[in-house]
Amino acid sequence: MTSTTKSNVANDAMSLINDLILYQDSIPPYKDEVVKKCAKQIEELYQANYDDILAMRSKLDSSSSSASSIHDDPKMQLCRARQNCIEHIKRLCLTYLTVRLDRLKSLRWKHGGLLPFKIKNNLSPSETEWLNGYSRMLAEFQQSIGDNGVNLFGHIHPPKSLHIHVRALSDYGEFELSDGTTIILKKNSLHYIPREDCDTLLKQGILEFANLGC
Amino acid sequence: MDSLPTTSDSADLLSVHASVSDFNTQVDEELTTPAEVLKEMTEVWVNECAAPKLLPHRFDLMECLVDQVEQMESNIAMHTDTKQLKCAIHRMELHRIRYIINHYLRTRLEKIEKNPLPILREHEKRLQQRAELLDEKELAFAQKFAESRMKLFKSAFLANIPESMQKLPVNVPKLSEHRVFIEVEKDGVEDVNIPDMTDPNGEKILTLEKNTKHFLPFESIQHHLENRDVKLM
Repeated sequence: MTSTTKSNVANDAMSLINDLILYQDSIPPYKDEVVKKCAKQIEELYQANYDDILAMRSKLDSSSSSASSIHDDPKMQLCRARQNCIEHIKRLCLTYLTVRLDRLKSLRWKHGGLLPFKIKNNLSPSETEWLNGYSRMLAEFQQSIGDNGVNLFGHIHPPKSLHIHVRALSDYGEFELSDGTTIILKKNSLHYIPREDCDTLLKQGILEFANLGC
Repeated sequence: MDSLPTTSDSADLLSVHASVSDFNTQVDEELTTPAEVLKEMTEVWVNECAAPKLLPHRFDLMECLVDQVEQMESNIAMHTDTKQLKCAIHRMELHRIRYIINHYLRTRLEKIEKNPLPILREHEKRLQQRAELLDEKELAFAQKFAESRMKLFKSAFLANIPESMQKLPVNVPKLSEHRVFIEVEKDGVEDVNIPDMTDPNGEKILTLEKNTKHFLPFESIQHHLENRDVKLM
């Protein structure tokens, strides 16, 4: 039982990690069957260890030899190798889940709540539930500070000026600013509007910064 | 709009605004003007951004500042007919203050989310002895976050493996490698031990004099930071 066996046993778990590496910052489709298979492998290894240790213990009890503990039994090495495999697979699977969560979290902050459809499809139901819970936690936290709550999604960069030049990327129609005036967003139209008003639209991709070079 | 005042003039702006709008300043025990609150908040914010681990919270300062910002914003909303430049300058300043507050909160949340369990443990250890690590709202957030993560792991994976293997490994962060720039604020600060680079197990002693700047391991000056003897840069 050498390291070749270990890599054979952990192949499925490694495939999950390879998925993550392939997709870089994005989230690959959730491989539910592979995760379940890894869990089953851990169960089997654990069960084999349990049976072996029980056998060794009973042999120790019934034999009259001067062996002091089961640690002297050569089969113990096998049990240790199995335990290593269990830890390894468990670590790989937990890494898979944690990295997915981390990427999901950074996407949530980047897009401000509206995730692209592709990503939503790739999540498992428990991940979608986690995301909703996370948004709720954040909202509660934000609400609890001050009278009106703080919006942690705004003011991401130190402000350089009150208004910015933006260009509309598509025909959005009418948009009301915070001081009451309405502007009409047609494709490729340029506008000079207060920073706070365009935050949401910038995140959604309807507006973009216009570098007018002035 | 090219000559907008920088944050160093914000102290003047805040006190001007205070006298102009005549609102009640929230009185802290030691600090009485909004200018001082902002100055201290800025220092707290810089310390938090530069430190590799979560520092004790200063929500008292932050909430005071948030209240004042909200009051100022409602005042400005009422004065829409005054000269545009004055309003614009005030609004710009409020944007800057909001940015500081938001960034401070976001940095702290990020640090909590990275590793909630050791932070919760440290918070428990600190109760009633030293300055609190987490504000109660952050504590609620940290607990909910750790819980929801555990729930996800359990449902996706851990529930399917034998009970004795179900413990989650917790990362204890190694702080010994982090170095920070500091500036010494007060006189008569205790000496610090820093690792001697020529001898793996040895330590050197460094005297800290006022207004000197150093680059040293974060661990060595951690307790000085809490006593506010030094500040990070």
